[in-house]
Amino acid sequence: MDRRRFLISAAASLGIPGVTLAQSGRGGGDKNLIVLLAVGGWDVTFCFDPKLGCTQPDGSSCFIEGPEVDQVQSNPDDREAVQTFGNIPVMVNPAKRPAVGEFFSAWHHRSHVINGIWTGSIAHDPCRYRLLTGTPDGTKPDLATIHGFTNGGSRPLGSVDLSGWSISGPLAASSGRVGHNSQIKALLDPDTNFRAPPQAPFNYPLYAPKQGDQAAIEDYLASRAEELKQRFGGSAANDLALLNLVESVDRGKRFTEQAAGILDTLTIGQESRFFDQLDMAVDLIDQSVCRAVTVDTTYDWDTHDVNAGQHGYYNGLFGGLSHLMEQLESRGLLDNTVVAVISEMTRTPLRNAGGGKDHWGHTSAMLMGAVQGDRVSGATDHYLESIPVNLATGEVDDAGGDYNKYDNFCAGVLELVDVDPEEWLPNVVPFRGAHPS
Amino acid sequence: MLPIVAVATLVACGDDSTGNQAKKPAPTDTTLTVDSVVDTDTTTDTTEPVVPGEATELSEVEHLVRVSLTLRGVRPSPTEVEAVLADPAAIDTLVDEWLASEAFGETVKDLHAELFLLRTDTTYQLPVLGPLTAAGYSQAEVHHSTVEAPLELVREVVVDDRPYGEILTADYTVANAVVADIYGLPYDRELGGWQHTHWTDGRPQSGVLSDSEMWRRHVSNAANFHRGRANFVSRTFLCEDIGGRDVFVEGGVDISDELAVAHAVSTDPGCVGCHNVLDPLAAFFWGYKEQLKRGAINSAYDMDCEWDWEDGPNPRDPYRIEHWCYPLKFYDVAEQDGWDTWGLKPPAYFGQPGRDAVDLGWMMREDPRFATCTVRNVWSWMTQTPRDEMPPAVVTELQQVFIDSDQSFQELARAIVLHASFRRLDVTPASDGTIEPSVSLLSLRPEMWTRTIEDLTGFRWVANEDGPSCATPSNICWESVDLANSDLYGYRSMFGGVDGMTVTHPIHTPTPTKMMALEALAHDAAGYVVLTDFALPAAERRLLTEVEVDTTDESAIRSQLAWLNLRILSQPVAPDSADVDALYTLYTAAGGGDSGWSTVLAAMLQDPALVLF
Repeated sequence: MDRRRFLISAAASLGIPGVTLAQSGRGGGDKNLIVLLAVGGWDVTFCFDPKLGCTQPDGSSCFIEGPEVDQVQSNPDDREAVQTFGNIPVMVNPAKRPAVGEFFSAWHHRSHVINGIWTGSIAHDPCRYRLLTGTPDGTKPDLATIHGFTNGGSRPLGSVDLSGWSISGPLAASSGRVGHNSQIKALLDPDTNFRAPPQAPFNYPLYAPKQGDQAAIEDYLASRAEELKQRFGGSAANDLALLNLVESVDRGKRFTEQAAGILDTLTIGQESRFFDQLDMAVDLIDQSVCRAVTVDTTYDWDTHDVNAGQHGYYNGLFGGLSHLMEQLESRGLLDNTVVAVISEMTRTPLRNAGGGKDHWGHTSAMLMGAVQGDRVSGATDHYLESIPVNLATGEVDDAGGDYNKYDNFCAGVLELVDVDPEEWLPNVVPFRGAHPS
Repeated sequence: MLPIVAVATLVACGDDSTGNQAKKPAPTDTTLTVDSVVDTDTTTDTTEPVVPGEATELSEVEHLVRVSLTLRGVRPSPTEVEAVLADPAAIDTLVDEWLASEAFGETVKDLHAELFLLRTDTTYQLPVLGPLTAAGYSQAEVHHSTVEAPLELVREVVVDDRPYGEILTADYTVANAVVADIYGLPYDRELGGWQHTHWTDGRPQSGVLSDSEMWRRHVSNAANFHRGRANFVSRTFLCEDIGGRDVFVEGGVDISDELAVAHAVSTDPGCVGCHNVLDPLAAFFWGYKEQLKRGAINSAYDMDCEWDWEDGPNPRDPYRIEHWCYPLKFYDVAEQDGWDTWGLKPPAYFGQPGRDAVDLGWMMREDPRFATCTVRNVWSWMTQTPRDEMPPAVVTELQQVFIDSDQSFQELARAIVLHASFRRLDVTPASDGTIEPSVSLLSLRPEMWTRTIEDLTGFRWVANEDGPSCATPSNICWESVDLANSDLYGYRSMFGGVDGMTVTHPIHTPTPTKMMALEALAHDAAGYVVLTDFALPAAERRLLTEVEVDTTDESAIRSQLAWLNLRILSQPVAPDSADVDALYTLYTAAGGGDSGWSTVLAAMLQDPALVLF
């Protein structure tokens, strides 16, 4: 039995979904996925879901405080307005968030905004699990990991986590992390070493095998793995563990060979910056190191104290998104890459006593690239709560529609990157509003 | 005037698992026939004996390795291996010894660090300012002291074999000098170390339920009103994840009216299901500040720990700026009835009224769910399986062990590692389809990894990435960081561990970055052994006890290799065995001498048998 089929049968018997001949790295899909996280909960009224002039059914004003409350009247440029780019109405402010308008002006035709995603919780981690995995379970693999595992093909890794927030679960053997402070650098670059303590009588590395010795070690370890398989193999779980070990060694080697140059901008001891993460993400995909990457804006969107911080964050986010789209287009990747910009929740309609906003169990998302562009799907009401939609079209359907829940959204994203969502989110109707027609 | 209560106070429960209320499916027509309801065939007795499934069991030594790593994070010594080979029953005695060892205490702390998500070295560090600077503490000391304090309380209860529930009811807290200075606790500096002490701010003393680091890690912002803390307690100690349920509120609540919100959580069907339990549980935690963050402390010191009243009212009223200067005031008795101020439910534990955290601790300790959840938590950690997948029969069995032993964590641990299923690697189904429980291959945890390597080689993989000016103006020096057990600079979460913040669940499978990190550590550890062992007399060495760097005698080298196989891989082999042949080939191909030994040790210290057990 060859190794690939070995994995398939082992994983299938463990009930790990989606592991079929087509989807265990041989999914055949050629889409890439970049999951871009705005961690902490963005205020959607600042951009995606404008509520300026919102009224209740009785005609009275909505109880929603958007970015307009921060306007400095003495500055005539500091004005909130709803501007429609193509078919996408967006909240803009040329003084505070110029990058938002610039982005939509250039890229509205490749962007799809989804409003009114129901998150099912108002706590950070439960919401993050839901929006990333489509389940409330923090041990299940997330979108990037699933896609990388299924469609990674012969790439060293299926997915790479540059953000620190990705959830790989049982598919971790196909994914890689760079570390909170870029510590992967020391593992990739033989010229990058940690500093031994001052009192230590040595420097690192303490041993660096010659090429021939390294090869001999690898051969020895491979034979040892085979011995272990002979001893402990025979059950699905154990076979999978042993295969993951062997494949992880192989993946690690290939990742080291292919990714070292790409991750040069990393500096040990420092978190990677947002724009650097975007560049690395494009490089990793462009150079076929992986199929999916998770990126973090690095802003703390959890503005309980000063909601006005959202202005700067949105401006930074959209400056990055413009850069990302330019990079993807210039590399010829835009047509087969889906970028999913997600935040685990939005913020309350009203501000708290401290001028901040608290958590709200709904959110928006934006998909870019290989999606149906120049559209908005879904909506929220005058309470900033999700309105039912037609999951097939994304059109609001208050009377007969369904809520676009976190699992519907995730199932839809999986379909967009040619992963069968039924294997991972059984009986969940995918949200197809952003699917290319 | 009360601030407007945002609807974020709501942690409402949906009344259906999908939350899709807008569209309900049509009822299905089901017509039952008499034949489909009544089994009319009563003539045949088909009882057959059940043929049990086939089990693959670990050998005595393999089981010993598994138990040793699980209980104390290191492999068995050659003496221990030989004892079990001579008498398999010797493992019982060894387990007793290991449960009494310091190493088991460290394992207990590791387990609870993961359960409580406490060892977060990438964020939330208290700054070194004021008296902490005067005392000469480093950032590393402040971090390690604060996160280890509640773990030390747990460790002591377990190692002393007191009822485990005491972690919830202890009428003391545990502190070292650093923690004592941070919170102003009584402390005997001559005695030093970790000591029993008590909180002086009026908070109820009830084990980890009163620990400041627990509530620093598990914050409760704004109108959350301690519900997050309540859910943490319920999820962690009772296995009841109230907040993990989907939240569905239809139609909205008048968010401009805080009384409407308080009314909704008590009467709205979509809210009551969770809030009837959650809010009274949360009421036990009023008194604690929402959070205690580095930025607030820095700001307080910038203001010289005193609000300038010429600037108007204190924006943090009723808190005082000086609360954020050392010693920190994390609990305020004046706030402990805040639930009443906000029209919320009084403290109660699943319907049973209580007064404070002391009552809460005792009610939890005596709740059967605490016993069951403890069993699940410990089994889950030791077998590296989800706690809700624990076989029901094993839950029942081990719960009884735990209860009958008066909540002895040690007895529970013993029962787990000596349970038949813990030695059973795999089993096929019986003829009736039932499957006996088994525990498949386990994966080396980062804490085990660092202890194993240090135990074998004397090497700790530490690095110092501090800048030259890290000590001033506020000490941010982390000094020597254990690369195998840190996320600040090291590979803990990349090795499958949790960092407590972004990575909240461990990974129990080999991964590419895990194997890359393992290789790097193995290389450095191998080089360390060759560097240090050959500089010492043979009797003082860790591994290379039978040869010198210039030894060329094949029999001596083979004898050394056989001993390394026993020590590192716990496998007794003969010097002329195939195992030693392979190692000898590795040694000679590398040119022998220090290069040969480095190569051999680098290979053995990343052997698959170390990674999976």
